[in-house]
Amino acid sequence: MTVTEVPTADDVTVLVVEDHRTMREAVAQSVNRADGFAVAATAGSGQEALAALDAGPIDIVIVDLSLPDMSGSELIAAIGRSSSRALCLVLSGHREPHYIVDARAVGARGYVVKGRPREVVAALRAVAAGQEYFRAGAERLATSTDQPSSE
Amino acid sequence: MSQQHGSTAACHTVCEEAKPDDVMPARHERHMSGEVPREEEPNRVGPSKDVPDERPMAAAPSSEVETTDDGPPHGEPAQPATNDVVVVGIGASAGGLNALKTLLGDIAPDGRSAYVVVVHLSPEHESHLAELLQPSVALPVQQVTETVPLVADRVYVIPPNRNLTAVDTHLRLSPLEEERSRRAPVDHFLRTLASTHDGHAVAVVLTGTGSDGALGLKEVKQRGGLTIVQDPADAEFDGMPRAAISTGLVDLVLPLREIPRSISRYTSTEPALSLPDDGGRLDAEQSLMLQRLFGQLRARTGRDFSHYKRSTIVRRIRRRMQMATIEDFETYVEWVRDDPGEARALADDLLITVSSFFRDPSVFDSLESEVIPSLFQGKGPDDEIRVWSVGCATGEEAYSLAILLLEEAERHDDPPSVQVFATDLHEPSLARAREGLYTGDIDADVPGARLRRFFKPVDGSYRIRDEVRDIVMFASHNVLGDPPFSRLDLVSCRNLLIYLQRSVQSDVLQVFHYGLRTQGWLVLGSSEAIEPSDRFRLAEPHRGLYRSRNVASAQPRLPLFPLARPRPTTPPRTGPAPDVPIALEDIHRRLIEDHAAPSALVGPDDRVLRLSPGAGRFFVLPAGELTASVFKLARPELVIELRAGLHRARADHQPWHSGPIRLESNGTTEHVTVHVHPSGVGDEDGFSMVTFEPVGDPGLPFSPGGDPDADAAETIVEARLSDAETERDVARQRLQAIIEEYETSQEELRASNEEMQSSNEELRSTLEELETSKEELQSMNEELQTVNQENRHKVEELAQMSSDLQNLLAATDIATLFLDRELRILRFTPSVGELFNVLATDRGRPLSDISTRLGYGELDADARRVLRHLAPIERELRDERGRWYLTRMLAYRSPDDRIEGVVITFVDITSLKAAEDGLREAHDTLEERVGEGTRQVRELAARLTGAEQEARKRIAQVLHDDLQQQLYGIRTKLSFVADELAGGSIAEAQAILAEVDALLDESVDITRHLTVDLSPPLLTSDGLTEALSWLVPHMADLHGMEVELDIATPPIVDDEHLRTLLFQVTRELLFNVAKHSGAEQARVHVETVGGEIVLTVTDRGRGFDLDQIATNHAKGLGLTNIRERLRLAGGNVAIHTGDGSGTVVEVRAPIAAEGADPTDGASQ
Repeated sequence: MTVTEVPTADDVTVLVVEDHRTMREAVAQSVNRADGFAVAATAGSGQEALAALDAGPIDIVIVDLSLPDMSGSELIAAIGRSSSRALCLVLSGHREPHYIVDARAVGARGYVVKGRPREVVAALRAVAAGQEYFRAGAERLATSTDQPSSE
Repeated sequence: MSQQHGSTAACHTVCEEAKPDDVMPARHERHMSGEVPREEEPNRVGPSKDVPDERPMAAAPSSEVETTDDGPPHGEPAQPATNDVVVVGIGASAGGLNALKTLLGDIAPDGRSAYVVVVHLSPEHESHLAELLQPSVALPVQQVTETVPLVADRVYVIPPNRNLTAVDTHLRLSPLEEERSRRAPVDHFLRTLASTHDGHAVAVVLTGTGSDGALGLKEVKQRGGLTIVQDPADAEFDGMPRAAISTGLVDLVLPLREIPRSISRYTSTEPALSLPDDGGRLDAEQSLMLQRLFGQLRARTGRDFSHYKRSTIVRRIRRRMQMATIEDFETYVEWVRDDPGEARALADDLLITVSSFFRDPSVFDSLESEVIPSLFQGKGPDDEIRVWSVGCATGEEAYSLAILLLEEAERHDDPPSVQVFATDLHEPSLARAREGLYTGDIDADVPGARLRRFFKPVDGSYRIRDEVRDIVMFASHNVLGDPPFSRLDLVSCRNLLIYLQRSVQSDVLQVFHYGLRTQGWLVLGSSEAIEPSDRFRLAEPHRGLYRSRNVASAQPRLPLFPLARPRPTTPPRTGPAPDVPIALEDIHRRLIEDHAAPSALVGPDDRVLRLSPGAGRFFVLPAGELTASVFKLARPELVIELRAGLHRARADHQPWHSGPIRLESNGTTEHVTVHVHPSGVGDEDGFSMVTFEPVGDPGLPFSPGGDPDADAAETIVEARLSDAETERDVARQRLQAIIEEYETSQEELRASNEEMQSSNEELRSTLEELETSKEELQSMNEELQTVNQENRHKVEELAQMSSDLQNLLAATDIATLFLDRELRILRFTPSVGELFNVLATDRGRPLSDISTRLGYGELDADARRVLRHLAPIERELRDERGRWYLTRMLAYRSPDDRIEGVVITFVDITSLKAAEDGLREAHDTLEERVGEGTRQVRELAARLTGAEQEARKRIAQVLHDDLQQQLYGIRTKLSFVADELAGGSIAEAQAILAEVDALLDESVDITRHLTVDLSPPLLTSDGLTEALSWLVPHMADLHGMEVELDIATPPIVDDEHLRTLLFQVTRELLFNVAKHSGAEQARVHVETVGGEIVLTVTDRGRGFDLDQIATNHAKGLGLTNIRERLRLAGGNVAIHTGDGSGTVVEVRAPIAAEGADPTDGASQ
């Protein structure tokens, strides 16, 4: 099974950054299975992710917070500073609110807790539609952010 | 009379003086006829009469007549039984049966000796001693049940509840003393044996407790018997042997087995030295030999025995010869000449007298009730009672007298002081007397109350108390040579005279008379009566008590002064006689003598003692031997009247007067009456004055003739006659005048003559006085010498004690300083010099003058405080050189508990201090080490906590990074399956499920690895070998490394902690190999060497940097932790590594746990 598909012209291109092999494949698979999304590339580390962004146009980057060479936040910050226009969606095992706050502070557009496969697609769609997706910990975010989570 | 005497040689040895005993044989015959003899007192002596050696034999019979109890003296120490059996008295008590069996069993019959066994038997039970002894004894053994004759080669055994008494040839029984404590059957028997058998007795004292036998043994020895004591080391109980030995009079101390042989040797020796013959003479050759022996003794010992009685001397010489088994006298004399030891032994034997407490109770009763109270009469505290015990031996008699004196003194409010002089020649005896320690059996002689009052018990013996000891002064003194003591109240000289020849006896009595005060008492042995004389009168018949008469010793004669001794010269007394009343008395007496009728003083022995002037004409010197008897000297006409007169006057104590007696001499006739005036009673009894009073006037005055008759017729004749008559008258008158003139000048001459006589008298009396003072001075000097001798003894004792103290002080090396009350230095020990700048010359200087090396400023103040409060002060001080001293200050208490100063001691405690410091240091070091250990443990604990954190982190990481992601993946895929099932293809769902299944497998693997990592499951249940075996595939799985396990003998490690540690260490090492060496193979070798397990991990990789490994905490425990934990388990790690040459890590740990728990560090 291939991780990346050749995206159609309409497809939103996605980069999956995840150091754990099984998880990376599962996430890529679930992206590909969603209509209108295609995995353009996968990366096991921050550096690989940045290289993939240079290689081709990426719309959305799914970022794991724990990477071997840098943290997910650093990667998001680095993407923000780069020429890429890709939007970042955090996919993390951590469900503590400060991770979410931190991720949003560096420019992430959404935060999905691992283990809820269906939310990944929902979050992708929200981000692709230009919305933010911070469902997890929404109650907390409502009070801590000026922008309420969608849905 | 000497019937069978001389019939055998043995009999010679028995008969002291064959002649004098005409009574003994009679008594002897009585015994033979079976009559029980009535001899009671051991000391009473056979009434034999001593005949001086010099006297011709013919003189003897007359004295024999007087041989009655109160007859003449000189009882020679008991006449032996005329019996040639030697009696061996054997005394034993506790442990006696076996000793007796052994002793008697070794005795063979010899036809000479009879054996008498005296033991202590229970009074309540029958005794079977005889039956018990018989089987082991060759001689017949019999218990004495009645009076039995002594027969040779028999053994006689005492019955219970009786005393056994030896009486001549028989044994007799008498009742025991009532008081148990006073029973001493051995003493009793031996004493009686001694008194009747003399040299023919052997006393043997065997095992037993107490001291019975010691006193009896002394008597036997004194009487010339042999004394043997069982060696205390050999005896089962050594009390009796020791007591006997302590008398100093034991001849032989032998083991039991050797005693029979000694007895036999002694009894079988027959010295060829016969006793003096009937007249007391020795044969010429023996006499000569004896003189040589005396000469040798004089030269060797300075003692002159030539005045001693021959019989005594010979008896004791015979004894020595028997002891030495020498039969020939000449041989013995030569031996004495060659061996000074024997000379001394013989001299000692000759000098032995034995004394005992309150010997002869009747004598002491008289002394106590009569004599001693009389001494106290009329004496105040300033006076002195002086008593002389002559021949005191070991002091018992002197102490007895002292005890009586002290008891009497207690009855008086202000008693006079009491002094007892005790003298003897036998130095060993004197030494014992001075010591005053007596065997326990003296309680037989001393009543209980006195024993408690005057003795203190010391280990079964008795020591005389100081109270008694202090008033008795012992001195070596020869009554025959040394000046006597003077102003004595009592002289006790018992059983000494009997050893002296008669001529010397009288000298000794004269000495006593001189030493005694007027009316002083003389105590002689009951057998030593002296003839009545003008010196002593008998005060108590049968008890030997005499009083000195008040007669001046005309010339105090001191016999036999040794020439060598310088006599003290006294300066001649100048000026008139000091005592005026006495001079007046003398003048008065002289005038009375001059003008009263002529008189003579006649003594009790009828000797003329003094004549007044003019009395001479009533006496004539008869022809023949010069005599003083009044009956021989008086003119024959007077003798009859004198006899009658003296007799009546003495008898009636009334003056007696004769009628006129006509005396004719040279043609003149005169008449005299004789008057006999007895002197007073008491002391002067027996003296009489005889006066001769002339009656009538023999010399009539010249009367002129009748007037001339005037006759006319013969006027011229008459005138011439008248002229002639006138002339005659004139001539007669002239003659008368001349006669008168002559008479006058004769008177004058006589007067001047008498004057001269009186001044002569005066001179003589002055001379006597001088002589007396001189003698007194000599006596005084002697006394002073005695005191000096005592003092020297004391000084020697003090010197000894002082030297002991000095040695003690030197040995302890304690600096000691003695100060007086003014804190002046009195004495100090040499080591004080190390602390104070003090010299011997500093004695008497105040302490504050002396500088000290001790920093002790308060020394003076402290000393004063001790003086004031008497509480000791202690300080620890350090001197300049850094030495430490413990200073103790105490009050000095004199023997009468007064405070006389301060004693300061300085004890060097430097080494103690050093030891103390050392201890403190060691303590500090230990504390430091414990602190260090604690720190290390804490560090280790911290490190272990760190390691635990690491492990947790690692586990969390595994869970988070691997397992969680895996599960997230699975869940994601499962969501695809759900999607497919909802509207996709089943096949797609199945394909995804297969992926999920594979992922789940991976997940299970992850958890399993994790579990194994945390705790190898095998290790808890199986041994180390199994756990290591599990590692092999594990390492291959995990790291792709091939591990070769080489375990020859599976080690048995019981300790689970050690097992775990070893496993973890191995895994860690293998992990290191996999991680760092680059090698793909490793070898693990396990073996057990001497209680240690040795685990080696070898690889052929490139080696690794130890430091790097050591600091790597990321994985596992790390090498440092391994080292620590191994160290705690008592093991160690050695690593040999190098670039490219591979690595060898050797781990060692003791299998037998040493108590160190390797997990202890971790659990903290």
